[in-house]
Order: sequence, then C-alpha cells, then structure tokens
Amino acid sequence: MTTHEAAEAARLRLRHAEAVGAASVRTRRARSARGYLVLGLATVAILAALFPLVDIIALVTVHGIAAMKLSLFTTVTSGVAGGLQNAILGTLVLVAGGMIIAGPLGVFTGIYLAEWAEPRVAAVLRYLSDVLVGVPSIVIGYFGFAVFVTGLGWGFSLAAGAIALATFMLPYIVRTTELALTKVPGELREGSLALGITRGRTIHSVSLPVAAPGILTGLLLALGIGLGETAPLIYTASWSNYDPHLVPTHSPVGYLTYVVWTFINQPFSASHELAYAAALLLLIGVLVLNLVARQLLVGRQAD
Amino acid sequence: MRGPASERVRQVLTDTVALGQGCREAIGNARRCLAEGDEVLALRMVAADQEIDRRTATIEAQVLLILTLTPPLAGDLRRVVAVFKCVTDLERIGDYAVHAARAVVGPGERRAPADVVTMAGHAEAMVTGAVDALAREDADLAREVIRRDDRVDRLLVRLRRASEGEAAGHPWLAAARSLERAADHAVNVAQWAAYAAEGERPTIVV
Amino acid sequence: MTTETKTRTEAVARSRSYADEPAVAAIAAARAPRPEAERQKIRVDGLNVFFGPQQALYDVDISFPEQQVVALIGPSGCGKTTLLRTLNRMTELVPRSRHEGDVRLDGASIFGPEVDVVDLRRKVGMVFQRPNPFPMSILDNVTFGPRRHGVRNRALLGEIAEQSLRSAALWDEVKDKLNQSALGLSGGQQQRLCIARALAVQPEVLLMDEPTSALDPISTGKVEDLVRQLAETYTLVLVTHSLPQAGRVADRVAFLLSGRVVEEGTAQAIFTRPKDARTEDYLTGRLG
Repeated sequence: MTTHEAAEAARLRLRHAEAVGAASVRTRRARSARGYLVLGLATVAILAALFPLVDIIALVTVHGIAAMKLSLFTTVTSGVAGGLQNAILGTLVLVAGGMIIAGPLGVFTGIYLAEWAEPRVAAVLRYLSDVLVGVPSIVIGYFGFAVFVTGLGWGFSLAAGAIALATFMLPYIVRTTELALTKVPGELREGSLALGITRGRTIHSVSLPVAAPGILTGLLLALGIGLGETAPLIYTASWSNYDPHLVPTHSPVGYLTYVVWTFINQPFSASHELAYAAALLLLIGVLVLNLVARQLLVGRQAD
Repeated sequence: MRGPASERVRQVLTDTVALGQGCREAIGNARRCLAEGDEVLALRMVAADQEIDRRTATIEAQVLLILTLTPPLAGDLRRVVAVFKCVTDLERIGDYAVHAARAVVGPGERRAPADVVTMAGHAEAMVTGAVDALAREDADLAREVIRRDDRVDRLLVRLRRASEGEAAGHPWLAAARSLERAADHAVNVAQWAAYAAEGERPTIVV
Repeated sequence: MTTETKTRTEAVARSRSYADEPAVAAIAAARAPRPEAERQKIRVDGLNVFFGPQQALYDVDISFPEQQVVALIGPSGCGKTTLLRTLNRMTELVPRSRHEGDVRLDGASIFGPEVDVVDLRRKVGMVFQRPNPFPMSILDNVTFGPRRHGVRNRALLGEIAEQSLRSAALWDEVKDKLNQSALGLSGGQQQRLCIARALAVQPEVLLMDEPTSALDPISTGKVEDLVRQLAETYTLVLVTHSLPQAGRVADRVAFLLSGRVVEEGTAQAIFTRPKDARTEDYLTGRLG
C-alpha cells in the first residue's frame, strides 16, 4: 500500500469511527428503553408461567396439610373415606414393578443405542422411542387392558399395571441413558481401546462409570413420571380398597393418583381431604426425587 | 537451487555479496598499488577497510537475529551458516589487501616485482570468483577458485626461495604473504559457497 | 621443515571436512543407529487407506527401525496421523474405513485373520495429543490396562505401576498420592501419566500423536527427554508439528504431503540437505 493509500484508509477509518460513535450516543436512550421493555415483557411472562405452579403448590399444600393425620398411613380406604395406606403401598408396588421391568430394559437398550447399533438401526430405534413418548397415556392403558387384562386373561392385576407403567417410563430411560453415554468424551474411550482393551470392557469400565450419574438421573426422573401417572393404571390395575396382594394376576391395586382423580369429585368433604392429602404426598414424592437427581448430577460434576 | 525462501535470509545474503564486492575492490586496489606504486591509493584504502569492518559487524548481528527469531532449516540454514563464516573471511581479505598495499609506502623501489603483481592478480580473480560463487550458488565455480590457490602457493614458494639469500629479507615478501593469506581466505569463502549450494564443503586437493 | 612442505601441510590441515571434527563426529555417532540392531520393527508396504470414497494414504512404503525414534512431519491433513493410527489399527474405528497393502510387525502382518486386534493394541501403544486420563485415581489409571488384561495379583500390579511411573519420570511426583484423582494433576503430569499407563501393558512400540502440543514449554521439555530415554527400550513413532522438536528427539524423519511419503532419512540429512524440493519448501516455510 502506498503512503497515499494508507493515509486515505486512515482518514476513512477516522470518519467511520466518528459516525458510529455519534450514532451510538444518539440511540442510547432508545436502546435503553427497548431493554426495559423486553425486561418487562419477560418478567410478565415468567410470572404468568409460574403462577399456575405456585397456585398448585399453594393449594395442595394448604389443603393437604390440613388433611394430614397419622391414620392416613395406617388405615385403608373404605368406600370414599378412610385412609391412604392401600393407595400408598399400591403406588410404591406398582412403580417398583414398573421400574424392575423398564429399568434394566431401558438402560441396556440405551447402551446398545449409544455403543453398538448401526446408524440406521439406531435411527429407527430412536424414532420408535420418540413415538412411544408421544403416545397418550390413556392409549397405553387401553393397550394394557386389551392385551393383558382381557387378552391374556390376567384381569385387573399388579402385573398389567406394572407393565403399563413400564411401557410409559421406558422411552425416557432409553433416551437419558443414551444421552449420558454419548456425553462421555471420545478420548476416554480411545484411550482405553488403545491400551488393547475390548469394546465391551471399555464400555463397562470406562463409559458406564462416567455416564452413571446421568443414567441414574434418568432413572429417577422416570420414577417421578411413573409416580404421577393415572391413565395407564385405570384400565390395568383398576382400584382396590385393600393392601396390594403381591400376586401378579387377578390382583387389582389401589394407587394415589386414583384417589386424586375420583375422590375430588365426590360430594363428601372427607373424600376431598383424602384427595388433597394424596396430592400432597405425590407432590412431595416428585419433589424429593427431583432434588436427589439434581444432587447426584451436580455432585458428580463438581468432582 | 531456487534461492532463499525467507526474506531475511535473502537480505543478509545480498548484503554479504555486496560486502564481497567491496573486498574485491580492495584486492583490486591492492593490485593497482603494487603494479603502479601508488602510495596515495594505498593510504586511502585504510578508510575503505573501516567500512568493510563496520558492514561485517552489521551482517553478523543480522545473522544472530535470524537464528534467534526464525531458526532456518535446509537450504536457508546452509546459506545462513555460509554467510556467518564468509563474513569473517571477507573481513580478513579486506585487512590483508590493506597490508599488501602498504608495501608501496615509503622510500625505495615502489613498484612490486612481477611475481607479486601476478599473485595479486590471482588473488583478485579468486575473490571475484568466490563472491560470484556465493551470489549464484555455483559450486562448480567455487571448486575452480579452490583449485587456483595452488598457483598462488607456488608463486609464494618461489619468492621465498629468491629471498633466502638476502640478509634483511625481501621487502616484498610481507606483501606476498598477505596476498597468499588473502587467497586462502578466498578459498574459505568458496568452500562455504559450495556448502550453501550443495551441503558439503569440498576438500582441497593437494 | 622446508617451506614447500610447510605450505603443503597447512593446505592438508585445512582440507579436512568439518564433519571430521572430533566433536561433530561424537555427536553423529551418538545418534547413529547401532548397526547390529538395525532391524525393522515395523514395515509398511504399499499402504493405501480409504475413508469411504476419500483416499487418505497413497502407496506408503516406510520402515520403522527397532529402538529408534521416527518423526512424521508434514502440513495439516498430509496423512501423518492416519499413518500413525493405522499402525495399531485404530483407523478401523472410523466407519467405512478400509485399506490396501500391508503393515508388518516383526515380520507378521497386523491384518492377518489370526491377529487379535486387542493384543496388537497392547503391543503397539498410543499416546494422544490431549492427555486423556480416566476419572479415577492415579494408581487405578496406571493399573487399568494390566487389570483388564487379567493381572489380579495386587503386589504385581503395584510393582508394574511403580515401574511404569518411574519409566515415565513421574514416580517421584506422585508416589505419595497414588490414590488421589488423576484429574488433579497438571497437564504435563497427566500426559506423563498417560505414557505410564501405556507402558504398563508392556508394549513394544509406542505411537505418539503430537504428545506435547497441548503442554507448556517446560512440560514439553520433560516429555521430550522422556522420549529419548524410552527409545533405548521401545520403538517410537512420533507425529509432530514442531520441526525443532523433530530435530531434538528424532533419529529419522519422514516428510508426508497429501497422503504420500515424499522423503525419509536421518534427521540430520533431511534438515540440512533435503533431496526433494517439496521437503525443502516445507522446511523453509514456503509450504504451509
């Protein structure tokens, strides 16, 4: 560049700098106002979104605490009043059953998807998994009714309910497991392979331990989802006023969400109390699970 | 050879060749002094030699800079090494040219004998050849220069024999020795020029 | 001495090539391959490597002599990493990769049907560009390999760990904190840990993919010293972007360009007198 060109470029730069600087000063007020406007809108949006949540929690907590008594845990439901012992136990047993089925199945499928599957097979499996997430829970309940309750003749049963719940929880577990594994840095895997260690052992000794917090979190979240489901259980586990009999077939089971769903419609205040109490218990359960999952993830990451 | 890759190396090579031209002039001047007995020229050469010394120091500093900041490899490495060695020899050639010319200063016979002038002529040709070999990265020319050193050595031997009889020593012997040493340094320059071109220093065939 | 012989003696004295100087000869001898041990540990024969339709290596012929350090140099994308990773068949982890030609370790093809890839990778170890220690204790990292290969004896594992850490010049720095997490070590220490981890499975060859490019100069120096020491026992192949590093540690240097080996020779020959114009261009900075 000649000195003339260099001087010309410098002059241009100076002129541009002045122009941009001046423009910036001029629009400062408008920028500021726009900023506040957006901040205001965002605040309103947050409040609108939080309001239902706060409302629910407040409502349930207030009414639920009012309805809490020790006898809830020791009495079974009789008709439309009584206690929640059967429902509590029923929920625990059904969710546990669902987990026993969906947990290992989901985790192994997730491992397969992340580590072994051919790209096309993996894509198909993932798609199916996503479809399953989108299936309405009542349809899953109906599926359970058609196949297990009537088709196989199990009647309303623990097994049918557990399987229906498992179907609901499965895709979440598969996806979170797969995600946790893909987040394991490839370098760790390469390092292990380069030491002359087989694929399988690498997954077992390197990938899984590193992905474990993520996988556990996924399981806990699926548990939380399972806690709160009603529709899959209505036509599979039905309802029972008695503590759950631990037999797989011909054994209707009670569960907390049923209480919430039906008892709130009853004209009796005792029923309403039970409903709110059940709702509170469920809320606490979901909250605790989320906190534990959070702690796991954060704790490990800080390592 | 395609010439230096780095701009800095190209520059330092150019500067060295220019220095070499200065030394060629110096030797040429020495020859003229000896041939014509030109005292005035002989004295003027001293100032010119100071310029040579100064430029030598500049080139050395440039080489050190290159080695520190942009250490070269391959062809450029050889050129930088050659330059670093050559400037010392070129500076000495300048010095010896001045020494040789000094013989014409003072009373007595001012024109050198034929042999001495011939030696000066060879020396000049060798310096010219060596600098050209460096500039053009011409190893064959370098080898020619090296071969020519024989003649200079033989002329010196002849002069020594001729002076063996005289008591005070041949007055031109000192000049002849200086010229022979200048020729030796020209050989060194040629060797390093060949190294820069081909990567090997040619040995002298005795 | 007559004047004539004096002159001649001077001429002879000056005529010795500088390579004859005792100091230079000593340096050259120290780096020269020992003639009896001039065995080719790995021989690459007409190797072509493809990733899908893309060809990464073309007709590569090169040998890696036993107990020497060979540096692979060349601009980005020239195939030096691909060549390195073929030597322990890590290229097979890339989908749609295939090869033609052969690579022989101690005379036997590494692609043979009876070859156990897992065992090959034990014998031909690898250290990567960025240190990749497992999120476990230092001791667990080093003993990871031997344990997974079946060594159970606690005492033996401890010995192997100490030996490997000593070989990697890391023992003194970590011997009091073997149970602490490896992630707490500095970058240079982590890289030496990865070297120790690779040594623990008792390899014969060590492949290093730009092992110091993520390290600070002091750690780089330590790892380079380590490389020269390891060359007394193992055969090393080193990919490096740093020409001075290749000069410092390598016995032989191979220059690759666009998937081909352009030139190969002793480090001294390549760096002072490359035969190919492209090598000259790369070394003098004309090429990227």
